Amino acid sequence: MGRSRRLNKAVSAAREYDPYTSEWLKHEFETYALLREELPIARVESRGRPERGDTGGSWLLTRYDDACSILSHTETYSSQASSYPERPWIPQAIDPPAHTAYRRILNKWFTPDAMTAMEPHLEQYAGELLDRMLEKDEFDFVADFADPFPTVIFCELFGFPLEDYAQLMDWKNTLMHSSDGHSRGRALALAKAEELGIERDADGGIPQDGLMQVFGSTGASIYAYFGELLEKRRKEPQHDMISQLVVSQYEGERPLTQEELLDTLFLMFMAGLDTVASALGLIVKGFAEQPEKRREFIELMDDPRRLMLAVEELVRYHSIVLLPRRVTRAVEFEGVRFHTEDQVNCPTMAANRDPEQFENPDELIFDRVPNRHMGFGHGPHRCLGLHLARRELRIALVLLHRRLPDYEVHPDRKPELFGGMKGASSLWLRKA
Amino acid sequence: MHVKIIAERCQGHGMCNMVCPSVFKYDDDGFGYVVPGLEQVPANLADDVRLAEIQCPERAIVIAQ
Repeated sequence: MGRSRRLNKAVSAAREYDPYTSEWLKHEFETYALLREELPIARVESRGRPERGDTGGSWLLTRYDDACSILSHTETYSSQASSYPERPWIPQAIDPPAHTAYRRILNKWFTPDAMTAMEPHLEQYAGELLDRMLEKDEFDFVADFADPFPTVIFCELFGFPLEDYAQLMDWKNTLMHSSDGHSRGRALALAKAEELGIERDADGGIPQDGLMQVFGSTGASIYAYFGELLEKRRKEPQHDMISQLVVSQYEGERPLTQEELLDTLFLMFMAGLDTVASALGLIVKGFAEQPEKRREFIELMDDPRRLMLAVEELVRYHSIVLLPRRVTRAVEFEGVRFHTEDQVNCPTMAANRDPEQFENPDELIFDRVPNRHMGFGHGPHRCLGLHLARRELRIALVLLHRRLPDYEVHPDRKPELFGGMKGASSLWLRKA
Repeated sequence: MHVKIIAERCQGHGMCNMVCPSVFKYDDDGFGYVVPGLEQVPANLADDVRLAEIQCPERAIVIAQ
């Protein structure tokens, strides 16, 4: 293809950029590669997902170095979007220095030591789920394992009652997956829209303003639920993070306000219920489709050093997060003029496949060094739960493959994938 | 070989501690530091310290010969 034809193709790819569909996943890496070569800082007009702080539009950055630079300069590239249905989530949508103060409260609960202490429990629970799943010859890995494993652990850690698990998942799926290819999320959002008397649009979907009503109403239910839970823990503290949060001090000066408590819980809920589940679904789907990579993994997994590097590589290869930032002042970046209120998007799946940073980026190389991937983000907002996430991924993958070294994607049941903060919502496997 | 962590750059990814736990520890907030007395890296740990420097996602580890 000629140079100018490639450039034209890149321009139209930028114009049509919409990562929030399952269709997008069929060509995402190809498109990010094309944009990285031809238009590494591309003007886009994506529709965005305001409920997640993604206001849409503006710029798409596909180079690793550019993403590092944006994500490190929080004063110019703010995490606070202008259009959350409720208040900004704490600490994700807050900038330093307040972010630093909130993170100081949370960080100490998520240190490597604290998470290592949980490992026996992680192993035991993962083992139980796997044993139950493997009584069957064919099973949905997402429903039987990838969803419940990290989610139940998260509920226990924070103190969300396990009997509320299904309700919490439904709320999360309504907010996160109403229109990204996740069938359960779509069904839930449609039911909610019907309950609220919202008319469907011509395609049978929910119009944008109706969607904001759905999110507003769901968000209000979640906040009411959290409010009750906080009240219970105030009266009767338990050994969980909600109880600790209630008595935490901001900068050692004052307790957190009710609003701060709610906004923190809200973020923990959104971040804790989806991420490891999504990564696990995509990793295992990859292993089902690439048996030679699966065998390579099984051969190395008893060597702790090689296993550690392999898990990092899997996180790089299967990165799931989009990282939108809002420009706070007119600024020139790498020869491009950004305006105040522009949105700059740094998808980790693009940065983590940049050949300037990662040799043969589209290949899984388990002993890849260096591997300074940003699968857990970069800069002050790097994933709070990464030490837990790493352990969950490692334990899940090792225990699964010890019990089941051979499996394949079920020939009659196609995996269901969703875009955006992407993942698998259904992954039927069959013992081989 | 001498090693230090630039505190302002460290974001607590914990990679250095995973690669070389005897030299790199982390404080109560999860940010890394070099164990006092090991800034001058013992020869048997030099390879691991080099790997930690290479792997740090924030490039917060600096080695001087």
